[in-house]
Amino acid sequence: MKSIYYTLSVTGKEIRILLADRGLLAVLLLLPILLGSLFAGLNLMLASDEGDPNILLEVILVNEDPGNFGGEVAKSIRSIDELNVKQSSSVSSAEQRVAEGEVAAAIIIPADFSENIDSYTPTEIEVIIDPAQAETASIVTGIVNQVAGEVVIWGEIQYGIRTIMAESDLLAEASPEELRGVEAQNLGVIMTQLNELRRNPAIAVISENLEGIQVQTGIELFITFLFPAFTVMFIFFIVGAESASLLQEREAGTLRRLLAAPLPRWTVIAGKMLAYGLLVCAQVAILFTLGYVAFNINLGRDPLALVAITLAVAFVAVSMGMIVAAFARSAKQADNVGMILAFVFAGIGGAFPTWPPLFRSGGLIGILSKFTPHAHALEGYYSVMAENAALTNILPQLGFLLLMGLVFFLIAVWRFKFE
Amino acid sequence: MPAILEVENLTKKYGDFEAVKGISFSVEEGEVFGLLGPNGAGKTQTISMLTGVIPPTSGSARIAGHDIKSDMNEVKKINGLVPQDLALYPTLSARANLNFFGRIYGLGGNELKERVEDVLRIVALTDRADQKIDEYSGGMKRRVNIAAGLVHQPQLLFLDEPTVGVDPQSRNHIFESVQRLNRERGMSVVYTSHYMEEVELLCNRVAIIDEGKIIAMDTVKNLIGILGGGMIYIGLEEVDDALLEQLTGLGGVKEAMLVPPPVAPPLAEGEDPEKETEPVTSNPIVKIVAENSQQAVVNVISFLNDQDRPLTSLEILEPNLESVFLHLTGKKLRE
Ligand SMILES: Nc1ncnc2c1ncn2[C@@H]1O[C@H](COP(=O)(O)OP(=O)(O)O)[C@@H](O)[C@H]1O
Ligand SMILES: [Mg+2]
Repeated sequence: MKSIYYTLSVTGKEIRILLADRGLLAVLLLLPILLGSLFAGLNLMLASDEGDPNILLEVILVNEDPGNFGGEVAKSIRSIDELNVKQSSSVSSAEQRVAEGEVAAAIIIPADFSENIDSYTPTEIEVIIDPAQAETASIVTGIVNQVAGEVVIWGEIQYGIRTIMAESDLLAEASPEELRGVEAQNLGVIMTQLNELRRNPAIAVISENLEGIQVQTGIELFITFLFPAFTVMFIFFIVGAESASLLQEREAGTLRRLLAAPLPRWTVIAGKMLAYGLLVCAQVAILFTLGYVAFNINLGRDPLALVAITLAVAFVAVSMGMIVAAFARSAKQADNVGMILAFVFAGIGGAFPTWPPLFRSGGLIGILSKFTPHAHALEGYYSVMAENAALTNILPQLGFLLLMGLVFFLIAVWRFKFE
Repeated sequence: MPAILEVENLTKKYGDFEAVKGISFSVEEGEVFGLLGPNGAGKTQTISMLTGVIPPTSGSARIAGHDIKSDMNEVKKINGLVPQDLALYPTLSARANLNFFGRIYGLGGNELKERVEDVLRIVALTDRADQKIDEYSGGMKRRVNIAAGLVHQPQLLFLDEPTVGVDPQSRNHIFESVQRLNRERGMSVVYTSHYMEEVELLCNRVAIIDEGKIIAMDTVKNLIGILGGGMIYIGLEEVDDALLEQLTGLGGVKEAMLVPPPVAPPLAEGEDPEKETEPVTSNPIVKIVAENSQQAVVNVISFLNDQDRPLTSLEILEPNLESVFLHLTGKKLRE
């Protein structure tokens, strides 16, 4: 019974630390809320524009950025079907054409856009709108936010890859050209997935599938998939934070104090896992509540099944954090590895909301996705929420998640070095 | 007085490297015992084994009669550890930190509350207890670091270099706290440091440790007594055994010996090996251990004058633990 007291003490301490970490909470809770609302809102708005889902908005694009990121954003904006994009090189003439009502909005990519992303400085794309066309203009703003969001994520991944490569001695001997090559290769894998998402905006794919089905049903299904997808994606962002927090304790010496105290070693690990597990449950509760209240997503008929799949995915995520801690050399490295794993697994596992869901597609990608916890968690959630499956129907998914979590956990306990 | 800590032949190996090479000592109840040694001597490794942080490779130790191998759980309740690093959660308040470090010893409820208030009083931080550790000065952090090792009222406190990076005022405050804990509460203390002043001030007995071995152990007074009245280093143009004998016979001199010539330093990178460098062993140096350094200096100088032997250098070292360490190892405690 003492052990339970010790475990809960560690959990309590960990929760206090988490609550003091506003930045982390923003990434784990606020970001998925924003992304979920934006995606769902945007798709609903476009879908409700009856008859012609491919509305055409005239916009003007000014790209002042000589770097890669600006070009990337410009390319994606041009490829969006809903926009009729005209190019211009002058900000003032673009502004004038908006003022004269010739176009609905002007999108301006500032000159220092790439530079800022590279140096990790916050940066913005400016959207100038015609007040007379406020409604359509807000759609443009939404689209631009989405596109820019991807590019910022790209910058962040690139930053993460760079840090890892700098830290590992593996590439110490490599020339700058070789380094760039490796970086680009890693980036390529991740970007393929993001580009896929961009080239197939969900709304377009859905409208293709609409023959014979009611419009509302299609979009509702998609949104009922979208919330668990974002949720699962962001659940795994705890991996980096959790593993870094354990290694941080080893580096700072607090772990030494714990080892000198009479609490058993396993309660230190268990207490931490419990704290992060509770955080995952909070993520799921908040996001599903938002989805239910604001977007009327279906929660299915078996609440117990939802709870079960949530606990199972929480277990996998916290065990994954521990296995990263067992193999990473420093807290900083663990944080970076955790973030990259979260992105790569989200990509392979189909947690970027593409339609139809990846776990329902066959082929190589479909098979590959089955190696990630994401695909099984998503399939579990989707079956329960969209297809009214009961607990007994999702036993295979639950079993896979629990088994994977257990394997991670055992390897982590076996390999983790306390001092 | 019974011993609260008995260490026998404790060893810690990492592969072929022996960090601790068979250390034995004992600490009596109510004693402040010092472990003095340079960085890398093996002080932290020794403490880590005695507090259950790492297992010893061989050897044994008993703390209040409990064996550290078979009875570690009892030992942990008796021990208090203040690690060398600031082992605290920086985003939590001092009080939250102390609460947690009490809970991991099974404390809770009112008892925990009282204990935390008590240790805050000991380190004089009651007023600022709800501030985040991040916002504290270096000295205040050190004080919380000590407080965190006291919440469960240990009988034997291990303090591992508790004053590193601390301003003089906090340092004095830490010394006073340690002395009060020892006198008023009868807490036994093992205090490690590479500052001889601290150990001279605080400790009854001291073990001087170097390269994983104890090279001397006694009261501070007796250790310094090895040097009697201090040490005198004199440089001469030439030295022979007869001269050393004559020097030893002078009044105030206890012993005179030739200092082994220092090893030539490795060539700096890019230095031309052919280049004529300053000869390393310019003149032989004689070390004189004095019974009374003033008398010895006067006698040695007038003797050398009479003999017409010119002095090339002269250095008089105070009798303190620093000189004892130099005397025993030929090295300085700190570079
Ligand atoms: N985990 C480890 N693996 C190998 N060597 C270690 C390890 N920890 C400490 N050492 C070595 O043991 C020796 C003693 O270290 P330590 O006890 O920390 O010295 P100090 O007296 O400064 O506290 C040092 O040479 C150190 O490099
Ligand atoms: Mg040390």
